[in-house]
Amino acid sequence: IKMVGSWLFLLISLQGYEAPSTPNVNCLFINLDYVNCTWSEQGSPEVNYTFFHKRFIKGNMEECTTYLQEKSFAVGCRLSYDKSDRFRTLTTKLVHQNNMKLYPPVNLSVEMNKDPELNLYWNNSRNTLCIESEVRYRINNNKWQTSTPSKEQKYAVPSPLKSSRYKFQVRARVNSICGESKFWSEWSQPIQWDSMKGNNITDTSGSSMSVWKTVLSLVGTMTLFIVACMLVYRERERLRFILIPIVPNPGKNLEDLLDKDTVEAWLHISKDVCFQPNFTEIACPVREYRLVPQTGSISESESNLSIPTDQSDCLSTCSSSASTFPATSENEQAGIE
Amino acid sequence: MDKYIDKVEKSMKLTEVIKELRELNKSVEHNGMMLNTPTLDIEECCFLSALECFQTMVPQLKARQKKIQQKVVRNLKSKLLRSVVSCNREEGKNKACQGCDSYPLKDSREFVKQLESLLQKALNRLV
Repeated sequence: IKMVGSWLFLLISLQGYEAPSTPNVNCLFINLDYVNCTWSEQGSPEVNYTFFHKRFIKGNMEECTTYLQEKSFAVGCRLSYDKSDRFRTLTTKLVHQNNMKLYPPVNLSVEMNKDPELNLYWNNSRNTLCIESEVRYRINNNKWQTSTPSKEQKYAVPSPLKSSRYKFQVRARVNSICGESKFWSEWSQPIQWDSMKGNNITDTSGSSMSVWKTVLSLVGTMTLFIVACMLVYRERERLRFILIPIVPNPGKNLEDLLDKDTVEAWLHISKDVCFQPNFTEIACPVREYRLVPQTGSISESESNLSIPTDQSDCLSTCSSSASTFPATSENEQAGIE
Repeated sequence: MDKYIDKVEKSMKLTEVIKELRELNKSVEHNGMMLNTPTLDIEECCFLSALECFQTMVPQLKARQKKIQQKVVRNLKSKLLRSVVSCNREEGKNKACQGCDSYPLKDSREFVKQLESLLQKALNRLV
């Protein structure tokens, strides 16, 4: 949208003059009595046009004798009707005079004379005596003051104030003697005069600044866009992870495990599973104890108490090793007997 | 330099006539009198002939101030003005141009307006 906007701005500023386009003429046969040709379809005209028509290809244009009026402006023309008219080509012409607008004046310059007199100079878009110019100025951003139009390309400020800031603008049009143009030109680029600094400051703020602003913002937006694209491209893998989370699939990890049959194969191949391949079994010494019957009560109690400490250590070491082997069942059998 | 002075003189003369015509218009009684009015859609070389037609018709206007009416007629006859509207081409200087009677009839207001437009056209060509 900004691109279109900046192009439109360029087109509009390049236009020399704006001229309201001549309206379309619509002709209508009324009841086989007469013909009404009107040009108010797109809205009431704000100027008086001159209407001409001719019935034959060869022949002169005739001016309208009966104009149709609306709000003190001519909106159409009534033409007489001829039976063959509906099968003829009617050529119409709508003429408007003085639809004209000049370029604004350029090359504004200010200088202070000895008198003291503050003089403004400029160049009109055309070097002709037919142009008249109008100056407006404001002091320290107060209200605008406008001069009377004159054909000079120079203006002197009456009794200029000291320690003030003046801002000038000029516009032009074709004067009344030469056929006055309907529209004044646009106001020229402003020029400033600061009596403190005694300088000619051409005020670049305004349309040129807005052009710069548009251009810079456009460049900035495009740069950001390019940078964003580059970042996205670089981090596309990571972004994919974030945006589309991966579903965990344990099957992949245990795929090789499930394929093998033997336990040895498990031990050697799978590393992630919690088996210790370097497991060594600690041998536990086993002793057999028999009850010798000497005196009934004393021997029983002695034999009960004589539990070898070694065996308890063995048992503890075996069970402490991280294994789920069914080896413990053998130890238990030995102890009881 | 001579050409420049010539141009300035001519444009000043034209400006003078246009201003006088406007003065005259204020003193004319526009009572619906119809006069043959040359159109502006005419060939370049018929400019002078059209001006002559206008010049013969001006005295027919009913003006309260006769002085200004006479002054306008005198200026329209002047050599300086005629040199502005004269044709560059040698052939057909007054040949192919319409006679004054052949131009359409318009009321006095239109007549004065057309004459002013003709003079303005000449001025635009000059400057």
